[in-house]
Amino acid sequence: MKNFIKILLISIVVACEQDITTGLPESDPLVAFDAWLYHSATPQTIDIYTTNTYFDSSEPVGISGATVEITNINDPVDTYSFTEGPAGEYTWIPLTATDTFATIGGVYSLTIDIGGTTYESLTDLSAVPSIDSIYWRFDEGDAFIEDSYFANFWARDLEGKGDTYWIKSWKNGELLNKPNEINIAYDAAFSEDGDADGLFFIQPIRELINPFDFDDEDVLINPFEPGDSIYVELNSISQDAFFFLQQVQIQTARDGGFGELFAVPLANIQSNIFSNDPNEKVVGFFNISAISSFGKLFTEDDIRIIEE
Amino acid sequence: MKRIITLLTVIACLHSSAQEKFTINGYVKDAANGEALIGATVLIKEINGGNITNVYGFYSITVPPGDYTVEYRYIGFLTQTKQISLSSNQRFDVELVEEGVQLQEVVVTAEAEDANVSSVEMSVAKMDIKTINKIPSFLGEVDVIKSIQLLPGVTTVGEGASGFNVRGGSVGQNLVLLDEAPVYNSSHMLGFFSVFNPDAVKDVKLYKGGIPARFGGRLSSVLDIRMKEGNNKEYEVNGGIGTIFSRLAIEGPIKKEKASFIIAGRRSYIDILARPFTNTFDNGAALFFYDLTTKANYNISDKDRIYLSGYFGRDVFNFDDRQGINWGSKTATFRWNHLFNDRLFSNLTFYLSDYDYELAFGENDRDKFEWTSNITTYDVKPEFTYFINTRNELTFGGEALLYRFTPADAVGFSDGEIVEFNLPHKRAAEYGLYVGNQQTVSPKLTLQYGARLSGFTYLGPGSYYTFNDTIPGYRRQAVDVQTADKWESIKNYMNLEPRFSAKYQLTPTSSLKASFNRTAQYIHLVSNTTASNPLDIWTPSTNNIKPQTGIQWAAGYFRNFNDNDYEFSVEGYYKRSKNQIDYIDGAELFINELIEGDVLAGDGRAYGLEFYLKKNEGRLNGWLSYTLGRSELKIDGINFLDDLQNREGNWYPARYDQLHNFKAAAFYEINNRVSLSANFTYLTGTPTTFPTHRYQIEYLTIPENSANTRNNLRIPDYHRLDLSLTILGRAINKKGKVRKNRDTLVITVYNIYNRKNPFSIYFWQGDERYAIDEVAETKATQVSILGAFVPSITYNFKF
Repeated sequence: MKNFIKILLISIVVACEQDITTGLPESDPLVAFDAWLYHSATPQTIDIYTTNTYFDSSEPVGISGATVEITNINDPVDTYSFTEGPAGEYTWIPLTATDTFATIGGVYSLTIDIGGTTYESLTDLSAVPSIDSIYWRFDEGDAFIEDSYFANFWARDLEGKGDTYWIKSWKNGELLNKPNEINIAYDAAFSEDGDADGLFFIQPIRELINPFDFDDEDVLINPFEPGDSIYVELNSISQDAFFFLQQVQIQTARDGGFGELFAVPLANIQSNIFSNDPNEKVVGFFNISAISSFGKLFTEDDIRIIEE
Repeated sequence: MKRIITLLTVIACLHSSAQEKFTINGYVKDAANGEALIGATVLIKEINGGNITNVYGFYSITVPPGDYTVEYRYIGFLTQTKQISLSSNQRFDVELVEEGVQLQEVVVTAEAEDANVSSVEMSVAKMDIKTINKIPSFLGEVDVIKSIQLLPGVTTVGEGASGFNVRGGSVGQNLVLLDEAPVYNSSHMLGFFSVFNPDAVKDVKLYKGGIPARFGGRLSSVLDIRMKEGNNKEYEVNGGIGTIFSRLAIEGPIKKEKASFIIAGRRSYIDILARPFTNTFDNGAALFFYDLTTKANYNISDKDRIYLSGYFGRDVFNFDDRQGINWGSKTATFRWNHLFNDRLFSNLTFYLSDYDYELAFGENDRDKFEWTSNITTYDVKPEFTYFINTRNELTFGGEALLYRFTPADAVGFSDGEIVEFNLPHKRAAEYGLYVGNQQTVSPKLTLQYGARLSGFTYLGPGSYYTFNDTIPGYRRQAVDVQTADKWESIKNYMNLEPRFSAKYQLTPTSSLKASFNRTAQYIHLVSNTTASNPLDIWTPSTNNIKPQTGIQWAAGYFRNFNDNDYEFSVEGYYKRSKNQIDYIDGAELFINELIEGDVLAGDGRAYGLEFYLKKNEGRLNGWLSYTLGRSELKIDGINFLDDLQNREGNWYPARYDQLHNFKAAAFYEINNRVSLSANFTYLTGTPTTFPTHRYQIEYLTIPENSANTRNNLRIPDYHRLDLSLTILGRAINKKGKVRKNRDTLVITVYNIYNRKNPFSIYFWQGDERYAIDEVAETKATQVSILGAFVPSITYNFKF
């Protein structure tokens, strides 16, 4: 998209942008849940709070006094209780160093009670394939990019249709967390109709682990130089979480400029958490991910020539 | 059906007449180049009645024997008068001479026309190519679609958006016809230019309401563009060298007065001009468009004439030699005009129209993604006009279309492994039968009435789905799938579309008009982006997607002043529509076989008042246009506010709802060679959805509209002034002789006071990374597609 925009830019017409201050329509805040958890032997935290108005970038106000429990619906013994620390922060702490949160293949229910109102959700914890290797591809620069080395991770989607993943990456220890760096996959491709079961993750998913930063002239900065390190995490996510993140990507990763001609209007994203009061809407999401990871220091030996 | 039979009976009665009558008929043409004149008036003084030439320049009038004075009139041309003594059927092909061209032997008078008052037509926006040529345009490129946007009731959501909106209708509800063939995407360079080459266009007419029965298939409007036939007297070359593209058109006789042709081409060359200054295009990157418009006609006999016309155009945006987007339209039309007798005129049209786009991404042959999508239409359309008498003109005919949709043929390669994403092709047939009559009931009252019976069949082969019911706004799941054989009908639809217009002449210079029409639309332009763009997909009505239907009431007062120098009109309209399509939040529109499960349908309404004041004559002329209008939608699952359980929709403004729409166009002739043109546009800002709150999942900050409203606020208003200066080259050379070659220089400044008109406002967390536990700063950013004034120079020539 960026290149597309750039071509348009030189075609005499110049799109321009400015940050503006604008009022927002008045409306009531909602209860929000951030219940994004991991299959890991580390403390797991669920945040419960009241939403801020859109331009309010302060810490939101936590909601205290909730009871929070997660249970394997097929195995009532497999239950996890969360206790409140700071206001609105509910944490489960492993008892031992090998006490892992949740079991792969399990279906888990989240039950939260706040002052007599019950909020419920379901998710399943799926397995995740391992990452085989990471190589770098060299791309000769042009008007749009510098001479660049792009990292590619190699992993194969698990057999069976409908596995969904979130791929996260860190360069030199910094998490790539811009909205346009959300990298998700349905099997090895982008969508259900992709029909890419059991394949290596396709291009460009394989390559979206790179930082895509542009200089002042909109030229892509070389993502990696020898000596840089990369760390990639493959997280299994539920199918609902995949569709949720797909929407998050559409709503938050804004190209701006000419990209706005192709932009989708703002829309609310459906939560998978429901209140037992049918007239109450909540926001947020419940998901448990299994993790596989791979880290590498970039040396010249890691450059792979890809035949054209 | 009953109503049609009644109508036919009425028409049959109209034709009963014992007295012997004779017919005069023929074609009215431009004396300079033999081009047929569309809408010329042929008036028999003695009975104060007559006829208007049709789109092929043909007229026919049947009267009792006697001596008559016949006047042939056309705007901008000198009126010609003939004295005839009618005792048998007679053919008069007449050639009119343009005002300002001197001829000695013909006695002529020039007078302004009162067609806007006297004609039964209402809600019609007409613009001749001479006026279009005078309007200041973006980068100096004369543009048909941009020009009609200066007329009442026509708007656009902003620069760069494809298409146009008519009386609160969506872009996909306009039937855009180029020599009878529909053009599915009328824009080049997204929406900056239209595909119609002004050198090849003769006549542009937009029906906003009171749509005649012969047109069908779209809800809101019909834009009927007629191409030139080509000079049948002498060769002519027209061209222009502009800032962004150049044009060349050649026309001339194939056989003098019998057959002629025109071929007109354009190509943009910003990529070629830029090549020395940038290495952007060295790696195969490309940015250009081209189009070729061509037509030939042959006058086989007095009774038969054939036309062949075609359009072929393409836009190409390539990032490098492997990746990019390109799109384009193709149309081919064959027409045969045949006179069965002096009073029965017929035209038979065959056309093919195709629109397609291609996307390609990927760094190499082992890892790439290619996608094509298209819509192809074949149509046969017989049309007849029976000139019964001076008081009745009967039109009837039919149409049969075959559609082929290719939503997505996609193929991907992942490290050499192939992934196919093909969606099944879809077929459908659409058909229509119509009859209409224009009846002069009395000197004061004229009626135009008729009906169209239209039908649609969604055809096999392929799978078709049944979906479950959900609360509106949630994705519906397919619960059953069935398979249809080739040509098997999966679903049929039928609609009766009555059409009616009336004019009542109050005084010789004023009239009242009213109209009603019902329209049905069977194919839908699928889009969930804020503006229409070239990747929008056309999709048929199916067993799950119903056809759109609409009705419109309109009434108006028309008045001319000062010997027709000033024209004034005010029209009010009210429209209701059904099955307006939208999508659930998060619908996957591309490569989604089950897209029907994501579709929502609801009602639309639009109403408004249009004011128009035009000055026709004098050194300063032009017009003012103002529309006060609303366009709203009500769709369950959208804008449901606090009704979380049933999600029943409330009315909300459509994306193209613009309350105030003011346009002014002025032309001032400084002297014989220099003229100044200006146009001004003011539009209410379009509505958009603002978030109210934010929340965070992991490290992602997500906007939320907690009140579940749609289009709850507006972006700032749009206004813009453009100026252009046209300098005609000298008509007489240094030796005092008349030059054969003529040229003009056009200097244009678009957006002269440099306003950054907003296209949209978006909400985001900026482009930086945040540390873990840091809270993102959210903000609003306003985008202007054109951020500056745009000057340009164009040189046009003719020889």
